Amino acid sequence: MTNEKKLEMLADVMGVEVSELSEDMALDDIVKWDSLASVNFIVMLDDEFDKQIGAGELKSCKTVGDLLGQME
Amino acid sequence: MPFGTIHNVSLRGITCALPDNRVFTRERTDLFDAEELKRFEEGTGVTSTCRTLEKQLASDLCYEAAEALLNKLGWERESIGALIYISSSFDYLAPATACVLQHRLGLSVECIAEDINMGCSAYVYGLATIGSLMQTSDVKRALLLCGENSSKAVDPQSTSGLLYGDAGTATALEKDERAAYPIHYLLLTDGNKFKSIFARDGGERHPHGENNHVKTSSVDVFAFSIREVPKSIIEFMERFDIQRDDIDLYAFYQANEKVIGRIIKWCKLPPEKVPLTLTKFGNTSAASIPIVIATDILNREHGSDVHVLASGLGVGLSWGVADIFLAKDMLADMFFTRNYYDDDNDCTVTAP
Repeated sequence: MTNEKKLEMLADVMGVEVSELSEDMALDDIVKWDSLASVNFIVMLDDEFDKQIGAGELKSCKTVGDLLGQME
Repeated sequence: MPFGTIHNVSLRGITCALPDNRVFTRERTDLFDAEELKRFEEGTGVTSTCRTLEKQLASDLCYEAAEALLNKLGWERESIGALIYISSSFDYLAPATACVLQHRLGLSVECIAEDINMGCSAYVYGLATIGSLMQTSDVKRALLLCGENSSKAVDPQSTSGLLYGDAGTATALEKDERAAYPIHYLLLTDGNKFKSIFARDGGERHPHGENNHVKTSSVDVFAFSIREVPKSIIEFMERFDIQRDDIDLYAFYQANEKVIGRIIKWCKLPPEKVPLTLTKFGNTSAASIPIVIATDILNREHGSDVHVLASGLGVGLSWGVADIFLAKDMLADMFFTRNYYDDDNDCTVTAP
């Protein structure tokens, strides 16, 4: 899967436009990266990538690129 | 592993009382912007909740539910040998709310009355506790009261204020030598996560602080729930040799739609047997499972027994699984109320 496609999925999870996201962006600076988005991300990883992620692992993600790194 | 089996105890009825004050998520524009409300609704599945009126408490809702249930069953008050109230919402620092309810319901002195402090795991813990008590005592009839007044416990300006609804429930249990099937249970706790759902202040350790709202680390609890609950359900079913098709109703705590979706996926359950009541009533915590059961019984064609598998996880963190067999004539009821207790005058009052 291309990074562009992953970025689209991530934008969908957060409820933002894909143009609002870039790989080096800090998650703390994204208002929509909240608990709802985090839960959506966990569900998306499970459904689309067959991958289960713990809360600790998710917290260690600091940038959009870190989230993309989980999507494989 | 704390598995257990309770013989010769049957459920005779479940009644649910909801506050007569339904609030729609999309109408909460006084505190949230419209886009945020839409996103919350889509993310959790909660379109409305019932919230207690100003003076209404969880115990008031449980009282109304119990009163209605006893009247419908035609049970003499003297015949009730135990009352357990399970909630995170208590009337006073002392005494136990169960004692107040025993008084209000006019039960006999020959009655065990006690509180248990639990949230979403309340019903499973309650069934295990009251069933065990009945099995080891002379108690023939008992009331399990599970209720919550979360709307007053969480910060109304947080999204938790949108998620939680209030409700009170009463379950009537009776010793029954002819019970067709025992109650099985599995109870678990991870106190390492006691701060995951936490009201820090107001107790004896921090009596004067201001953090007395219940705060939930929702991502932590979500990740923990979708790992542990399915695992426990599968272990439970294997231990008691229960097949998926044996179960008519999967009654789960109503944390949010996504948690339930994960349990369905990981346990490979038929979604049509896993109803959602959170859509209308939100997360009613201790009251969730009895609300799911009562709603299902009320919607069901009469004439068949119902084998229920229940599971809940909440504050503690504490979770459990139980299966119960409901006879086809078991009572179920649900209603709305504006009543509350005026303790100065020792009477029930209806709010205008």
